Amino acid sequence: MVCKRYERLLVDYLAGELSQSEQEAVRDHLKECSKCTDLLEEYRDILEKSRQIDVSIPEWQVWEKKLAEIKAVQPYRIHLLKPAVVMISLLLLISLFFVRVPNNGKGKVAKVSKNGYGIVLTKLPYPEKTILENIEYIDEESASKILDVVLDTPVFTIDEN
Amino acid sequence: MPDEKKIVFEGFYRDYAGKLYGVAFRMVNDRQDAMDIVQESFIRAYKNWEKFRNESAVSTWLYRITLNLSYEFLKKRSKDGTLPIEKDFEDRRLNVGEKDIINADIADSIKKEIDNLTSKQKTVFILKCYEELTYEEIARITKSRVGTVKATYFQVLQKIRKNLGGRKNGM
Repeated sequence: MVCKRYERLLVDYLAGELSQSEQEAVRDHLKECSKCTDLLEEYRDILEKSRQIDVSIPEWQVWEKKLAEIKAVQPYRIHLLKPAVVMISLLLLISLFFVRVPNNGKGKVAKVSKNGYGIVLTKLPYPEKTILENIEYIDEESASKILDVVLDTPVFTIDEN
Repeated sequence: MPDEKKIVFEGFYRDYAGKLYGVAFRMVNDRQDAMDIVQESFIRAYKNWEKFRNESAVSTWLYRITLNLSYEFLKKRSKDGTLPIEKDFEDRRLNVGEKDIINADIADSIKKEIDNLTSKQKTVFILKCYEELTYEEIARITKSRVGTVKATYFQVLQKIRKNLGGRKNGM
């Protein structure tokens, strides 16, 4: 059984990723552990044989031709694009001043009245208006309760004017 | 692009075209695909050249884009059901044979083991074993943690060793 704590260290040791003190610790351990020494050799063999799997890199002439093709490509002109982006953003900002923002209903009169069937609330902003109009034909008692709840909620205010 | 920047770009091209070809070829196992990947990587680098600030940023970016393009090729290939052409494999055998005929079979077995790795494992193994990058550089390229890279590399070596049968197989 190989010393568990050293197995990972052996791989890092071969990878040249250990500190000076860690390397010394591994070397000291290897002096007295033949199993770890064998394992180190196995990993070393795997790496050496892996490196023998060569890739034949094409000659420089091939790369030179490719380089000419690459250089024919137009680089992104960031320095020309930037002012254009800034100008468009400015124009958009300016145009926002001329766009009419829809009225959100703030300050509008909400008329609260009672008829024979229940409560009628009008001129309230959507969606509150839609919801509140639906309580028009319910009985007076429940309507009052609903109105109390509605009036306590901070979603809209009833303007006295 | 100003002339001096063009010169720097050409310098990078000379230094990295071959390296990136090696990475791409080991990923996709096809000469033409590897060539296309390297060319596309440099086209993208050329287009964005003015954004790069230092050498380390460029090399990290080049490795990253090459790997991403390799993943795309592999994905497309597995969708199409096409296989890399055998010629590349024969070329490789020839090169192994030239160096050390006795070890060719073991190298072939290792090659098969590498081919069976996941893309992530293969990436880490290629960058560490062949490109000899540090765990930290690999972590930057793959946008992962150093600990993850370290663990992956260990797993790969452990897996290859186990599948080759260790000493029993003449290792």
